[in-house]
Amino acid sequence: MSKPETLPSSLREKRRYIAFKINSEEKVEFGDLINALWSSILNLFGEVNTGDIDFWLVKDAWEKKSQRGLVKCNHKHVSKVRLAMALIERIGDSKVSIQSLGVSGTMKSAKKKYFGEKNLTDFQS
Amino acid sequence: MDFYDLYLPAEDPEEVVRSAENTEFTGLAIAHKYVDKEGLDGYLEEMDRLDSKVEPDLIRCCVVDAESPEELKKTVGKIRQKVEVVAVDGGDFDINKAAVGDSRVDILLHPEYKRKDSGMDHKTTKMASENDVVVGFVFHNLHQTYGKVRSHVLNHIKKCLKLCEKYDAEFIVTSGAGNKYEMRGPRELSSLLSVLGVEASLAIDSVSSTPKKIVKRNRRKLGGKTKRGGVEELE
Repeated sequence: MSKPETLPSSLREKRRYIAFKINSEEKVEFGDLINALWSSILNLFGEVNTGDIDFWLVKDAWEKKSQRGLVKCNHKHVSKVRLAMALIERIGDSKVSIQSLGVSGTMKSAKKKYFGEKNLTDFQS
Repeated sequence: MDFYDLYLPAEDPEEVVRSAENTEFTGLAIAHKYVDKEGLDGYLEEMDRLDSKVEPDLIRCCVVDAESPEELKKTVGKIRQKVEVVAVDGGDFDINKAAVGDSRVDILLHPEYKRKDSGMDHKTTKMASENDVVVGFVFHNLHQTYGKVRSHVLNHIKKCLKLCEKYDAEFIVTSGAGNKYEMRGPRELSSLLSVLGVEASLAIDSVSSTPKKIVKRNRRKLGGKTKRGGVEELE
């Protein structure tokens, strides 16, 4: 099945990636985290505004060991996502606090800045 | 002001039309999903019978649910001369593309249906604008979803609307009611677009002047007043 073409850059919505870290009593599973984030955003802003936020939790960027991850959102609604994350105080049975580490325009730079990820070009010079 | 709902896939047409008599609708299109010629003839007879009994103007609408672009073209050719409105069930991108590329099609229904994107890109929207194919959003799709999925559907509709506004493609909202409880009034339908950021006058046009234009144009064509090549017989 074919897909629509990528829109020209002038018509594309700009996105931001928010890096976050979870401080909790027990380690949080990805499935529980995604449910908690979605319900927090939907409760706070409703279905219509949540559509505008264009929220997405990036599965590939989730690090279970260090409890860090990335969420994607529209560049105009970064503060809304930050607020929704800050309002989460419990995931499953454990108490949690979600700390946002920073915002970046690409996944690559977010991982580099906030997760300390390095690639071969960093070892040059 | 005249209001139209061009997609009502009702199982019991009379019940739906009677319930719509209390709303402001002037014209209603009971949609028939095309299967074969006999089915279409039966539908047309049923509409003729119902037309004399009820108040709103009944429009003959046929929906094509094709598996491939080739099948779509073939089916549209069979039904074009028999019904006033030809709609295509969207969702599959290949079908969406074929529908907006065919000027015999009047409406492409819910291009975002069961998709993870809006189902339209800048090229297909431009084609829709050039071929006078109207993009139809179905209100009933929002009844079937809630929470996370509904927020995604709203987001996809919004993206589609933005493209339509950019490339001057027309759009309408239909209730998609299968029974009388799913029927909604014209102002409720247009409120969906207002919430998604469409200007109030354009939102009202999507249930009034745009569908009216489609019906009027096709009635003239079927009545033999429009000749080939855009030549029209004036009174």
